[in-house]
Amino acid sequence: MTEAERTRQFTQLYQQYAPGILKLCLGYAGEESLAQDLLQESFVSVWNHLDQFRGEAQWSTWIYRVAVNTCLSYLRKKKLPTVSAENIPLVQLPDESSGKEQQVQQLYKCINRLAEADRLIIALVLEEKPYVEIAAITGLTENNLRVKIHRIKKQLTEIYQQYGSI
Amino acid sequence: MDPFETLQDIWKSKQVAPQVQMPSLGPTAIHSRRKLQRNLQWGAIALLITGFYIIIVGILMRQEFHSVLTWTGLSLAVLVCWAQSFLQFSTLKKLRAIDEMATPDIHLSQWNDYYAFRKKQIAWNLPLYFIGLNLALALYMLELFKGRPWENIAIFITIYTAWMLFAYFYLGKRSLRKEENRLRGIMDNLEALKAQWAEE
Repeated sequence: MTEAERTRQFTQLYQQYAPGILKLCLGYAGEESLAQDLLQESFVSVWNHLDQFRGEAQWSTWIYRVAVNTCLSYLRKKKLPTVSAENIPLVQLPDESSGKEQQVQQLYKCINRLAEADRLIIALVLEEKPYVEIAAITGLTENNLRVKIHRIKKQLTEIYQQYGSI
Repeated sequence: MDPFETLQDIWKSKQVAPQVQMPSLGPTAIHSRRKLQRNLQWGAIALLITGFYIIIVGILMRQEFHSVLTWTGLSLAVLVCWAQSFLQFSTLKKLRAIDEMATPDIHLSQWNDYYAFRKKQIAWNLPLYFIGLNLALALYMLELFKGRPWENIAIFITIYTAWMLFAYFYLGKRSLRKEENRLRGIMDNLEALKAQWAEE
């Protein structure tokens, strides 16, 4: 692949996948500036390893997996919090008149209460990625994934309900 | 409506835009593998250059140095710097081998292996590096002491030895313990993260 082809390929991938990856990072990190940094780190990895893509998986699977690994390795230095829906602090509850943006922020906060792996899995589910692709990205078996998704959906809904929004 | 579908609608309502049209390949604020690689790479290069610098100093001052011990000291200093540089390049190679395209559990295991390696490495490497450099400096100093009043030599040796003992047994051990705890913390986090991918 020539340098020009590589750049063209990368530009195309960035334009196609950056918004989705940014949402994944937002769901994981819960804050915009960190999510933008994780997006950048993910695409730097994509650029560095572009030649290693062998076409055994879809571009989407490959890029999302790089992003998932980037998010996970970022957290290796931070102390992992104990996750429990009961530990959620009481905050101002968004009501019917609340803006969409406030609801989105609330959702990010709720996702942030989940375990790290669960955040990534549910972000992929919320992005409506097919289960078979999520399984390929995460390396989980489809059966295991279904069990996990069922549990995470229930957990997230409960957490969100504690805010009184659903 | 299924409560989860409501959450999905909220999620989809968020319109995001990457800050830039194309990402820069420069550093970000987060502590990434690239940052670790840069630190290791520049550390290794600096040590390599220091070795050459000592050789140049030795060549330029060859008329001043008459004792074999001085040359042994200089040679040992070069050897220690280059050995340390080689070690840092090897660590860098190990870090680069971590596969970002692997599945998350394998990727996390690779990070864990890397930190386990670092933990073992610092336990023997830092004391050896410290002893090697100080031995080199001591050998180098012997010739400089020739012809000086013994009181001055005694004062210098006492202060130097006291400082080295303090640095090794207090500062060095404390810093080693701190680094080991830091690595242990990272490894515990990685184990906890890895456990999250386990079968349910």
